[in-house]
Amino acid sequence: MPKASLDILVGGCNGTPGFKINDFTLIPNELSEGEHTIDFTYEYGESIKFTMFGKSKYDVELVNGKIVKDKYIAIKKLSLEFLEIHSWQFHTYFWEPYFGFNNQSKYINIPLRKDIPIWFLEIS
Amino acid sequence: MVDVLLVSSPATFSDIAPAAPAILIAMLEKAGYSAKFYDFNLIVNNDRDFIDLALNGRMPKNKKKFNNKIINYINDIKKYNPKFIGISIFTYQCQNIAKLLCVYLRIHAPEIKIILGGQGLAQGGLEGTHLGEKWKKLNLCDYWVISEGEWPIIDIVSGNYKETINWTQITNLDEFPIPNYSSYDFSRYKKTIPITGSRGCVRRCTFCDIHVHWKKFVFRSGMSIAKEMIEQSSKYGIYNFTFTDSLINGSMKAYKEMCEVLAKHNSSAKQRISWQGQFIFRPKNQMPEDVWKLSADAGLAETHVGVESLSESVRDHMKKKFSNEDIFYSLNCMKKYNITTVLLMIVGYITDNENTLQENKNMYQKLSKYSPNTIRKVAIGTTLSILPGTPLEKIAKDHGVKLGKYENDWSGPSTLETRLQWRLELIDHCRKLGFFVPENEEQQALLNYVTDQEKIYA
Repeated sequence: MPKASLDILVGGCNGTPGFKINDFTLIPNELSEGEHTIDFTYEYGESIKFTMFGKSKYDVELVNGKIVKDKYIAIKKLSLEFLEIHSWQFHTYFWEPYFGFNNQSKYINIPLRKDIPIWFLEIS
Repeated sequence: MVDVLLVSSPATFSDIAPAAPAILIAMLEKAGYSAKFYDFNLIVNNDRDFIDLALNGRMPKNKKKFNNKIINYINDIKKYNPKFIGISIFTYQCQNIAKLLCVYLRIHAPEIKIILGGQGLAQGGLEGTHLGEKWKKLNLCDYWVISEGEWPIIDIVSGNYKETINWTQITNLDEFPIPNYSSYDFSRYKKTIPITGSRGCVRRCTFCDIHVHWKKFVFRSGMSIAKEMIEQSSKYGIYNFTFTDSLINGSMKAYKEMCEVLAKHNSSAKQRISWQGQFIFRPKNQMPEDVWKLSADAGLAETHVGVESLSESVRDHMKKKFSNEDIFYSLNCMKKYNITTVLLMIVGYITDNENTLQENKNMYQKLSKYSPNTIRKVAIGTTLSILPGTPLEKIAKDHGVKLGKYENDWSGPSTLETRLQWRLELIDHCRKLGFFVPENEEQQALLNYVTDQEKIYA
């Protein structure tokens, strides 16, 4: 199985959220606020599912309608075998790399290994 | 079947055959391995898809067509049936295509081991961040080499290599075999053979990272260099040589020895050997006129001199160690012995200001009588870059310099926009005086960009 690592920024408000990458789980408050790198494995031809959980409606602080504190996960970089997907690539080719809602899940479909070069061209 | 296929990654733009693969091939052959060179950079040099990706990071719109094109090249490479592919990443502008090649090779030729080398694997100058370890972690390569590859490539092929960021400089260049250009198609290059006589530099210029990277100035004996030139010219029928050295007259002892052997050869040879390379201006007592005459007899055709600034005070600060008098002396000798020169200039040094700009202009006026027969070209390349690890980076703060995100967008004594304007002013001034000053589109584009940004954020 190829190895991957995910660079994230964790935001806290009444603690930090939980985060799941496929079946790998980090429970709420396991991660401190700030930057973290999470190592995991994946399979070609399958999806990687990212889920943030453990956030309630009280876990956001507003001042004059503006968010001043929030419980969130922001993806900075996903390093897979052969390629890195940076924040701008998530925005351009996938989805907003920000998890702000409870049980919010997002997926990345990894192509078959033989199709990696063309995927590399498409998302670089 | 070949043990190692060396592949150049685009994009570099030189009409001279690359020197490094030929020396690596010779080293491998001496150690009992076979090796060839596939000049991928040359093959795709007119292909906009590759050039755009290399220089601007822009992927071609038609991905399918580009994918097929790359697969065809990978199939060409596979025809050599190599055990190892050594991708030569000459500058940072070769990184994008090198990465692409790695991805395609991994999928379409997984049995081939990939070696990455070349100064382009370092970001931000020779002392910048090295990408080798990062790319290996991404499984883009099996091995990476920092700096000199002559011994590491043998260790890799024989299974005794351990990557390290701390390399030890090779101090005996005379132990290398003569470079082997047999797998090169010389009809596709300028009729000149590259040659290396030394590594490192005798000067410690403040803006330069050569002496930071190559701690010692190491050089071959003059006899060994001359012998290589005589042998190679006879083997390939090419009688002109281009030195890859930072300077060819670093060791005057070796330089004179080389000139004596070549002058003797030229006096009786059917076809004279000629050569050119980077040079330093030296005072008369270090390089008297008889050495200039000997150089001409030995075939010195052109020198490329890092003058950098025509203001003595700026040059002194740079530690260039030659005076305006030395410049006139050298130019007079070159004029007398029909040797041409290219002046390599930097605009916007940290001590440059409107006064030094005027000093430059005044000196160009005085030097215009040497153009075009002696001063063939004035290369006003770029504005000053402050590279990591250089003396300039260390003293920058003391001079009120605030380093920027990139090497040349520092601010303090002057702004990037001012420096780019000075550069344009000098180019215009030189052209009016009759000097040939080549275009540098990148610098003009940078000026446009900087001006636009200032408008946006005004």
